[in-house]
Amino acid sequence: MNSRGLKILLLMIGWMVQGCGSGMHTLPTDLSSETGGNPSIPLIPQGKALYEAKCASCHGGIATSNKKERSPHQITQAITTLSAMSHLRFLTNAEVNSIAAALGFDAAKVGQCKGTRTADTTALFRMNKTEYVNTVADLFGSPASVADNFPPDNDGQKFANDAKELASISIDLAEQYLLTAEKVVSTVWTSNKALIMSCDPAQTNPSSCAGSIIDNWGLRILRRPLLATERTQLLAMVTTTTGVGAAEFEGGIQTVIEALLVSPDFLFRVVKSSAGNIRELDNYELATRLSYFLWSSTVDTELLNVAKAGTLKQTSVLRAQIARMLASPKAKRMTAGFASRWFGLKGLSQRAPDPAVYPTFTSSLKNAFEQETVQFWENLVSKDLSLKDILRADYTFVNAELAAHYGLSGVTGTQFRQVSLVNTPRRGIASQGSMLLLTSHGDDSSIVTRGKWVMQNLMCDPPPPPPPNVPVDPAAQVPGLNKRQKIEAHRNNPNCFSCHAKMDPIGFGLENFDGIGGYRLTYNGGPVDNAGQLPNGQPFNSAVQLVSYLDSSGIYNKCVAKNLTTYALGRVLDDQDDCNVEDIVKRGIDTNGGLSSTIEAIVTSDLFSKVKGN
Amino acid sequence: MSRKPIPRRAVLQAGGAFIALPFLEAMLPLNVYAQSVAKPLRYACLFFPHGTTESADWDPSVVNGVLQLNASGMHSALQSYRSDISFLKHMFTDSWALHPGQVGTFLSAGSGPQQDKVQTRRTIDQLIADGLQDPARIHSLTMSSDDTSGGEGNVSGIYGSNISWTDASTPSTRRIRNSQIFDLLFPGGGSTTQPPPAPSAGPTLAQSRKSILDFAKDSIARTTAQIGAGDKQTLDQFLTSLREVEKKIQANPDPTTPTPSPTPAPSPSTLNPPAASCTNLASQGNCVDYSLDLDIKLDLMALAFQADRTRVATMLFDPEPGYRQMNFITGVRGLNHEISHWRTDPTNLRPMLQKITGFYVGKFARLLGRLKAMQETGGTVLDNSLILFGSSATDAHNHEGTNGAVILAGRAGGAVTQGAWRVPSGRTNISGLHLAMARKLGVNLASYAGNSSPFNIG
Repeated sequence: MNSRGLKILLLMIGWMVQGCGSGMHTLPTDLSSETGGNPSIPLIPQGKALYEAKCASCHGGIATSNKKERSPHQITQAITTLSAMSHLRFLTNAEVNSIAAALGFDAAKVGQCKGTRTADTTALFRMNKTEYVNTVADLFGSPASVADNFPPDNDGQKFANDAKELASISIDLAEQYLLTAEKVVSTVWTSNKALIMSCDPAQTNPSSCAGSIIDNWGLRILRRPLLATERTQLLAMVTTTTGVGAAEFEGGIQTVIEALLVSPDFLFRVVKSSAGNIRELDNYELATRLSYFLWSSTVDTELLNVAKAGTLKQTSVLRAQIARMLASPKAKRMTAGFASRWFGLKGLSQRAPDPAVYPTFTSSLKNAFEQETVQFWENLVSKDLSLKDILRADYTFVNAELAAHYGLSGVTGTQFRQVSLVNTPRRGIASQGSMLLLTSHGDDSSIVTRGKWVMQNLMCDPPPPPPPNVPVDPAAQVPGLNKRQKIEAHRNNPNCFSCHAKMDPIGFGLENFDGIGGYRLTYNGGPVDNAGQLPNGQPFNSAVQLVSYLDSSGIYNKCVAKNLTTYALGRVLDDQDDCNVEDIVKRGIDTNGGLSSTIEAIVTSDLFSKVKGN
Repeated sequence: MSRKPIPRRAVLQAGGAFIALPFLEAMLPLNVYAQSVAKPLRYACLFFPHGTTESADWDPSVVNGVLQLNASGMHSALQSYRSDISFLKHMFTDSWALHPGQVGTFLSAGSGPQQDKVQTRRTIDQLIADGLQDPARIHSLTMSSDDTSGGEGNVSGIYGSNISWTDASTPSTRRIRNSQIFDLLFPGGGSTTQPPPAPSAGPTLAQSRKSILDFAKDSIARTTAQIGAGDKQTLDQFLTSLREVEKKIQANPDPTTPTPSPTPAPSPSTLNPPAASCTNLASQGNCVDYSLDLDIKLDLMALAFQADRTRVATMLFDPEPGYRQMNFITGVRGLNHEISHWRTDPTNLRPMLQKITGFYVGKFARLLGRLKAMQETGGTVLDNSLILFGSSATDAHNHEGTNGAVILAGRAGGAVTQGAWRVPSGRTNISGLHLAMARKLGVNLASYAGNSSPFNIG
């Protein structure tokens, strides 16, 4: 089908549906507006009848429904992912659209944010294995291997710090917490006992010596001053009679440290709260939350001092602390925790392009791809550059091998350095080798995967998984079809159309990048077919144009804010966080400040600084 | 009878793939473990990701009463076990055609997945383990490869990384490191989890641990009072786990003279070196050679069954979606998940996916070989077991969740007749298979997943 034919088909279907929501029921919202009116209105009576028949038994009659103003997108999302709604899987696009209309969904309101929270919802955050390792390394200099025997964490969400998934502590993990605490303490006693034994019970009163060690390490390990009851209990673990032997005294202190390391107040970051009530985090809680956000680890002495002084919420103090923390080498831990997970860099290790197609590809080039992205991110953090650079930077980091691959001259050696991309076809993350390799098959670029990657990672609008039991398309199997013909044959299958109509045209616009991220002008002997279409219907054919659209439309800004907020909060965001995220965009990204301004906007938002107990 | 046990490290360094059976038996401290109960019954499930090509390549036939494997050759490793296995068609898991669901619903019989929420049910392996449980044994063993699922859409990868669940929201702890699995099964062999040497003065290890656990329990009580009622269950669960740890410690209160380690303790720097050879890794962790790692894990499963250390084990070969590079199989090039969508390029991908399925079938056959060679009261260990091998979809490309690829092996001590091709008239919820397996093993569940009609498994 030519592009005019495609547009006509889009317009026809645009009458029936709005919004890409699932493999079966979707279309870009903005296309329906080309029909010149709200296409939902004639459908309301049908939608009401359908709602009463299919939905009311669970959600109540339409007048009192708890699903008011749900969009077709939300309804189809629910149908495709909730078991309890499985029987609705075969509703047509038009039927879903009519139900949405009957529920009061109004396309004109699309674009307005959906809900506001006055506080966060999580009170308990268990450290994941990485955070535990970082924490005992920062406290005691322990090697990462101390936690080798930890059972694997559940980290099925975008980021590995999701509080809900981490909440459970199995018997195995509880046992490991005990054994690892003993290992940490015995290791520090062999290597650096003086770190903990800050006084000598033979020289000072054993009781006050023990007390000072307990106060100091209680504060550092629990990230807050000890309660009186805790202090009493810990002190009772140490023999403090006058003349106590050094070994006996130290044996007791060892037990104290181990007890602190198995305490729920160490293993969990606890935010004091009570069901239904909103409470502002105190200074220690806020310092702790900030520290695990930026360092994936515990607070340091300076943060504890600021918390003790009670000044962390003062704008100037908070700003200074954020700046200090981002400049610290510990901020590199955000690379693994945030950036690497966001971009899916872990997947690179399994990529092995077909040597018959890409004979020049080497494992050192693959390493260079990963290094480029890591150095790009770490430079952004350490220099406090804008998060918009991820999308649109006209610079990157290359060594000689990568520079040659990108066709950039003047770079020699294995060291990475910053180079300008002005006057090149590359901009930002979407044209880095790592992302282009991750979105390719072994022998060619993948138009669908690239479109999906952009929607998922730069637009925060992931297309849903394909529907089950899609019949094989004979049309796509005809020999001799070119790349576009094959993809269009698949897309014209009504089961696939709605989402592929949005994914594929984005992927086409990146076709000048081959399956290993090299730039190409020809494909199979002819010019590259790079005729893409942006979600707003405008044609495009380069990364530069795609970046410009995602930038000026604000889509990327909201997406990056959403990602960073998700990581900061350790939970999946929902519609109720939507206005909060938009506020973070306004205060943190639209101001053209650096990363720190977005972090400040997140940290001072109600989502981060307040909690409503469960 | 007394044999000198062979240290774990010697076994793992040798590499499971090269262990001859007499060697396996020699390493068992049989006097301790093996002569316990006549005819113990065992259950195992091996899950392979994504599914295979299509029924035409998978389905067997029966000629003159004898099971004939499919001409595709995917099952050729099972040729000599045809009388020990049956194929089952139309097994249905309500996986929502999502990859995470295809794993998470296999043993839970179609409960889940849920968007932005973890909600499934206690899986059948755990319920069978409850029934076969004996306090002296390990309740169940849950093993998996070292990969994890990234989820799909708004459905968490937690479903795709776990086939075994202890309750609606908690996966059974996956065991990945071979050294830890060995130490769990056969304690005293140079464990990486030995307690530290007892302090020369001050509290004894037992006293110290009591203080630590008492402090943790008191802290849980204090902190519980500082949070909302809805958050308390998280700390309740921690408390429950701590109490179990406490019981374990009390059973062995002061191991001040731990079993001497057969080899010196490794230095921390040798723990899990990222690019080490399999031999080194196998001594402390899992194995970077995927095929060998699976061999070692299945050998450990066979050993555990033979020694009657546990009666229930599961093995997740890889999560879904799984992006493992499969180039190590001759004739295969690419990532497992991409190849599984074989209809995008049937000419090239179909033979590759058949080879991948053949690889996993080969691992299954290898386990059957191990178990069949283990003689015990009432036949072989295989005779006294039921082993479920499968995936939630036959046609991987179409996520054909209405027709799982399922093979059942073993006789449950004579209760099951094998060598059949069992074809129900249409889609049949896999809960009936789970219920039937439990009952054949003597675990008399009234129903599973709302289903009280067992599927006929012979």
